[in-house]
Amino acid sequence: MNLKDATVLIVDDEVGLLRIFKKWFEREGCHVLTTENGYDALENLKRSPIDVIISDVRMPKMDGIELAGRVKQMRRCFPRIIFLSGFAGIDERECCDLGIEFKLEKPIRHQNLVSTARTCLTGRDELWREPSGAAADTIFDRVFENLRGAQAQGLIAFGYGGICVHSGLAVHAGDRIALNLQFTADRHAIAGEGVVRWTARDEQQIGIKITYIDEPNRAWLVDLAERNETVSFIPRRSDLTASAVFG
Amino acid sequence: MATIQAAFAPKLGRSRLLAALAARLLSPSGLTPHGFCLLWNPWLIWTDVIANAVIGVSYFSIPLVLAVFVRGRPDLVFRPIVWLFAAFILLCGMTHWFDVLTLWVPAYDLQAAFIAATAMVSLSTALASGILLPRALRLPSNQQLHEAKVALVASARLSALGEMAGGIAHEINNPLAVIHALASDLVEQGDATPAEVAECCHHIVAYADRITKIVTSLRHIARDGERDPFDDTSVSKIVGQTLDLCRERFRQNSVELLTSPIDPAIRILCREVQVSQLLVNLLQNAFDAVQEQDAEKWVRLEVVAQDDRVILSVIDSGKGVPPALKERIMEPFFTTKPVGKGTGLGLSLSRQIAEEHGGTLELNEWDGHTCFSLGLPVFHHARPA
Repeated sequence: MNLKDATVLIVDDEVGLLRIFKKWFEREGCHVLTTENGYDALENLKRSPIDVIISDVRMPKMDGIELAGRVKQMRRCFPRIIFLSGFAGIDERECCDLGIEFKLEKPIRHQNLVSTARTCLTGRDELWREPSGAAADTIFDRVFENLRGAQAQGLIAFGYGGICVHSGLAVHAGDRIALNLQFTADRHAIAGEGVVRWTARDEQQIGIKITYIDEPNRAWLVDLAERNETVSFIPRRSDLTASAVFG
Repeated sequence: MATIQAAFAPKLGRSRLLAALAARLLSPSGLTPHGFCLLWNPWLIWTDVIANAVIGVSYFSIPLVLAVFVRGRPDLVFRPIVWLFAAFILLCGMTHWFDVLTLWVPAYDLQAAFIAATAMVSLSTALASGILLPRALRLPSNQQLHEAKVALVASARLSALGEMAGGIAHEINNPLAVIHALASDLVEQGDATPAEVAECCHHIVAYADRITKIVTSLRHIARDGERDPFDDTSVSKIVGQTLDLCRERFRQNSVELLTSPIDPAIRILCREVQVSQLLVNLLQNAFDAVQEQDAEKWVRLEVVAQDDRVILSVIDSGKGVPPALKERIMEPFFTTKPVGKGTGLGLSLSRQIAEEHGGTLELNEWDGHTCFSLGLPVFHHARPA
């Protein structure tokens, strides 16, 4: 979706910021709505379809976290949510699970905010088209019999932007990772690149944002991601789909 | 002794009685063999008797003093060793009494038993004090205790402020984000008209002023005002600055902070920083009381001038203070908050500050709600003659 066709909802308790962000997005041709708290944002969402929410985190009358949780409960593909906060102290894993693709920090430049919103609206098919060209820190190689089996065993779960895998692989948040997950019976693979968004070493869980998928597998994976079974950007556990789909 | 006196009294005067008694005591037939040996110089025997008696009396009185001391100081550490010392000294006293007694009475068996007991008790005391020595050396000195107290008071004073700090950071960062957005927009836009630029700058100045205000309040209150001179200050100014610091935290947590306008003519003679700290503390307590509940959440700050006093009341919509706690709530270190949440020094320090200002801090009720009232004397300028 193009930014100029999108409806953007901006939620912030600082009226001065609402005013200027509204101006920025209207300049891009968007339809812009603004509210001062999560509660009113939710009311707005019930009335009209919204493509992107740009939300502050700390707000009176329903904060950003609760708003994201409520949006998740609606189990829709859109809106995509961008958190815009003055503090980085929000758990990455929790955010990804809530469906937050981007967590930006205030203060923010015009270009940065607008381009982030644009990325949010870009289809995964397009987002995953270009390899980064940078060398990977780690190679993640695995062979599964088939996808459904791996999901049922709680080894992998899909969000709309990445995967959560059960693995003891020694990686750190921010690592570039080369992906080669084979599903032999399905004759498909998750072959491409990703970035580690979070790790939970004790639970052997790794959250990976996908950045590139090779041509033969892309359509297959985009379809999987956009089915959005977990309603997350990256689900918090690899066994979540198992309970959601088969439970 | 009484029988001797009775026997001689009818016949002799007082000095003759004493001389006769001395003669009787020093007669070779009355003394034990080692007493008899000392007779070669009567001074020896008298020095021996008198000195041992004095030591015996003293040694008996010291444990008495120790006993009174131990009973009077329930906070005393290492109590058993004090009792051991008392026993040791008492037994030593006994051995001196035996030294006197055995000059005349050959109670050597009994003496030996007491000496053995003294030996055991003194050995135990020596061992016990040796073992305790490292611990005793580690006991904090008065100076160290005083320093610890000063540090604790400082941390308690700042802890309420620390609680507010999260809100304050947000309060600064928000206008900063607006300023940043406005300015970066001007740069990126490039073709703004002079009127647009002027309007933008006008907004930037307003938001920068907002930051300045909060930083000023913060710098003002987050320091030790204990030695500041008392100065004539407007109550509305103190309340205004304090509320600037707290407002954001209340707003973030949907706790309504209610105030009514304060007459700027009401002035007090005070250490402004301390009064602000006291108010932050009361507001923080009120905030904690209402924050967890689902019912309506509000905190009201009322300022009323009555005759020569001004009453600043902090009222909250919480469930109120249970009657059982009302008595103790102002005691130092008393707290109902979970570990790490409160030092229990807030209210007692607040009351101390109030009293240093010639005022009072009381727990009242206001329409069924908890109400902490700070009463301070109003300051009137001396009228020019």
